[in-house]
Amino acid sequence: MSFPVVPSQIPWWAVARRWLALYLPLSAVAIAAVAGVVWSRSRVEEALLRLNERDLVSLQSEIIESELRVLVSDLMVLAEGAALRSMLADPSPASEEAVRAEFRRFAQFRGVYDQVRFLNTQGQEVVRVNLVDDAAVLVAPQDLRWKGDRYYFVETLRLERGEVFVSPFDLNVEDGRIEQPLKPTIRFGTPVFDDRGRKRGIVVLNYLGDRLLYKLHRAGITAADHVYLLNPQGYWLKGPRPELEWGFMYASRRGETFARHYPEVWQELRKQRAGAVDTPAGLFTWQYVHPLSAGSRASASLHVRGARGKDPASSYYWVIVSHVGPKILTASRDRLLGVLSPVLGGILVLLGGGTWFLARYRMERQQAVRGLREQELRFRQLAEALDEVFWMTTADGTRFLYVSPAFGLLWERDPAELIASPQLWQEAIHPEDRAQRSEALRRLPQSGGFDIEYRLLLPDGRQRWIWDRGFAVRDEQGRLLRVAGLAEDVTSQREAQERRVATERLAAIGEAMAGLAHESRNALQRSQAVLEMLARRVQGRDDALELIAELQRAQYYLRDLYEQVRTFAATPVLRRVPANLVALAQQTWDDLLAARNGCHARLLLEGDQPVPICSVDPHAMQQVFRNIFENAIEAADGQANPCAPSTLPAVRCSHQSTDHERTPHSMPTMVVQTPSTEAVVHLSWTACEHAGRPAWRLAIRDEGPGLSPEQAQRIFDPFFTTKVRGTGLGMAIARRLVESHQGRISVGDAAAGAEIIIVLPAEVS
Amino acid sequence: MTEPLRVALADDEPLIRRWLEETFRDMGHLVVASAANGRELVEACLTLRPTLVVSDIRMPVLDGIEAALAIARDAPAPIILVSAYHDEDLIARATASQVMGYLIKPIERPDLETAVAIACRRFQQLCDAQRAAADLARTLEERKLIERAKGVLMKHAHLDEEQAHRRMQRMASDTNRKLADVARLILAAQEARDLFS
Repeated sequence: MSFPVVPSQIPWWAVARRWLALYLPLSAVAIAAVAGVVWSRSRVEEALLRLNERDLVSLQSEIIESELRVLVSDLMVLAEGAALRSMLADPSPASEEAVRAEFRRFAQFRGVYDQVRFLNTQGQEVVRVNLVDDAAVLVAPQDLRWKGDRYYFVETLRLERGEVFVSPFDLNVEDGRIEQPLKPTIRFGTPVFDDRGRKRGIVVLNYLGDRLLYKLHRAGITAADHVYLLNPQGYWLKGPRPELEWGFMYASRRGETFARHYPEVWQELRKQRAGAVDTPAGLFTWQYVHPLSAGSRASASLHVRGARGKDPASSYYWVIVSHVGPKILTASRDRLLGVLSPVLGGILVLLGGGTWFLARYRMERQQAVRGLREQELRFRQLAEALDEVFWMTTADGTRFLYVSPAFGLLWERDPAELIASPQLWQEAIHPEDRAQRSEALRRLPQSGGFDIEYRLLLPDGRQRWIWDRGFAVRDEQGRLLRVAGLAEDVTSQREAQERRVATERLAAIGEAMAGLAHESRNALQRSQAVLEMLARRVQGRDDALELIAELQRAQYYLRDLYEQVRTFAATPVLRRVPANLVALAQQTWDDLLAARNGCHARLLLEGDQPVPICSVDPHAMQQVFRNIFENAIEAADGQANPCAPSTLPAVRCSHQSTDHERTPHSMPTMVVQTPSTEAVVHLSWTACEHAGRPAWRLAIRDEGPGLSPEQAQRIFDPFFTTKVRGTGLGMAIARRLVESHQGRISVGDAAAGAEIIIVLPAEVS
Repeated sequence: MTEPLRVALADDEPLIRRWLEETFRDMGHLVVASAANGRELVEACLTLRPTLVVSDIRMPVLDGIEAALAIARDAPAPIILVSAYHDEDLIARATASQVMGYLIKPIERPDLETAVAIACRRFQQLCDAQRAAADLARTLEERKLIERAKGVLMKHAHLDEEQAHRRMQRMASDTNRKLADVARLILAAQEARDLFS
């Protein structure tokens, strides 16, 4: 049961389509996952960065504030210092020297002040310590300058006790020129009072802004590109590039402000003291630093005043801005992408390969499944198209694995029923034949197959012959796996065979009969001779002559019977000539009536077409007509007895025709009663077609009782007769003769009476 | 029955022979021979010259058809064959011989009566026809002779046809001979003359 499945190459594009269907969603998921990771990571990083930047600027502002707080303390310590006080109270070289020593010590230890000075109320430097190369150096008295015109002197001298002046953060200017290298400086000043409360001068500390900027720088080494320090005007104190810094100190750099470079940030920055803003240029995070309020916090009594400012606490401030460039902002994402891209690439490649193989595999599987399904379908179609029952059972034959639908037709049971109850098969077999199949099944493992015939006993009692063949289906080791088989309805073959046997027997009988009939002629001749001689010898003895006449009739009957048998058994030899069938029939009818002396019967011709001309053997056709007419007349006999029941044989042969009344001259003749009723036989004809050729159809119908279905079916069988007398060969001979003319004879379906139809090929003119 | 027939019978069955003898006798004929086979029949016919022969076909030694052929040749008489067989072969052979009837057994007396009457009549007709044909042939032959002799006369006696004919007639009546005999003489003389010259 193996069907070759045509192996079809799977085209690459079909695989590619399947592959795309698999690969695209999967790769999309992979990409989305990586993108998600990157996105969330970068979000986190960004958030961290923001926080970091905020903390950073906050820290830096604190650094600045705490740094400045210390500065203010330093200033106050110096201004209120004992050495300075005693010098003011008692100006002497010794006390001046003590102040100088203190200032020098202070500058040395602190190390953050470029200059530590004491100026008198006129603006003359009294003590001045410079920091040169980290060493505090007292400036000689001849080098001390007058600074009475400087803004920090003027501003500071105006202050009251406890107030501190803080200069803007700018570059140190010496002798009217910006000191080189640049020396960013913040000047702190506070007035100095003597014990009597008179203002005697000021202490000024030049704070080295570098240190502050350095600290800012140190604290700012983070993600940020730059940490800027801006003054309220937006000038860079610490900028992205040195040439942008200190713009307000140089006439040439007047416009170089943060506001000019990042106007939108500047806008935001002006609104809030702390905040962050994203711009195309990057992330800016800022916080305001209020060094003066920081100073005031250090001491409640202090009043820090910014340069020229009315409200120092709010107007004196710087802004710390951290600027994280767009590159840094996206750096983490780029880094992640840099790491994940090859990974993603690898995943995509692996995925591509994997899904390709998967797609191929699935296509192949699908094809294989389709192939199997196709195979199964073909098998089913084959099995279901078969008239034979295809069956398959387990090795022991106890369970049916498959049975084709033909089972339903043959067994007249539902195949599904058989699967459920396998004994149905066996039970349907005729009891006498049952053992046959079970025995065959039992021997199957050894025999390898069986070939049996048995009868089925159908539910309605009919029998059906089944030809059942079983085959052992074995595995490679030769173990019995299953039993497969074919069961076929051979009833018709059986019947045909039986019929053939019967026909052959009949033919043999016919041959024997022909021989018998032939040989009988000599015997009949002897008997006839003896009868005649005997009749002569008993001349005048009527009783003896009557007996002889009786014998003579029997002799006639025998003779005619033998002749019919011989005619039937002999192969007809036809001498065909074109003949008018109606005329032939009419002539036969007339002869017949003449033979049946005084029979009242009428033949009605019913047909007005041209008369049927066929190429026939006239003798043979006359015989056919005669045999039919005889039956027709005798059928009417039974009805109305139109002809007296003939004691003579009904059917006679034409060429051997003898006059029944012609008995030996001395024999008494039979007196035949002739009734008054008339038998009517109808003969009609029409043109028709037979075997694709023009033909004539003759219908001969009597008005008798008609034929029963059984009679109609068997009327042409040899030796079938409904008559008390008669050989039962008349219609069989008629059929033989008609068929030897390539014609057909059959029983018609007339409503009343028996109708015989003869169809003969028409003579083609 | 106008004239009794002299009948020769043949059948290998004594009973049938007996029935035939009885029946013919009863019909008023004379049975001159009753043979058991074809040879006996032919011999009887040669000596007894029957006027009717009725024979079975299948018989030992010589069958009816062969016998009929011999009889028709040497002692012509109407022949009726009676047989239980009527296959094509037999019929073909029978028609080739000069049989006047062919009856299929079983037969009864009326069959015989009819067949005998017909056979005798047919035989008579046949004989008449044969005689007429012979006469015609002879006449034709004589006419030819006369014409040739006339030719000879016309040539040697320098006569025209009319004169030659008249001379031959005169010679016939003078010598009391038939005209044909005269013609033969002339032709013989002519042949003799051709021989000597």
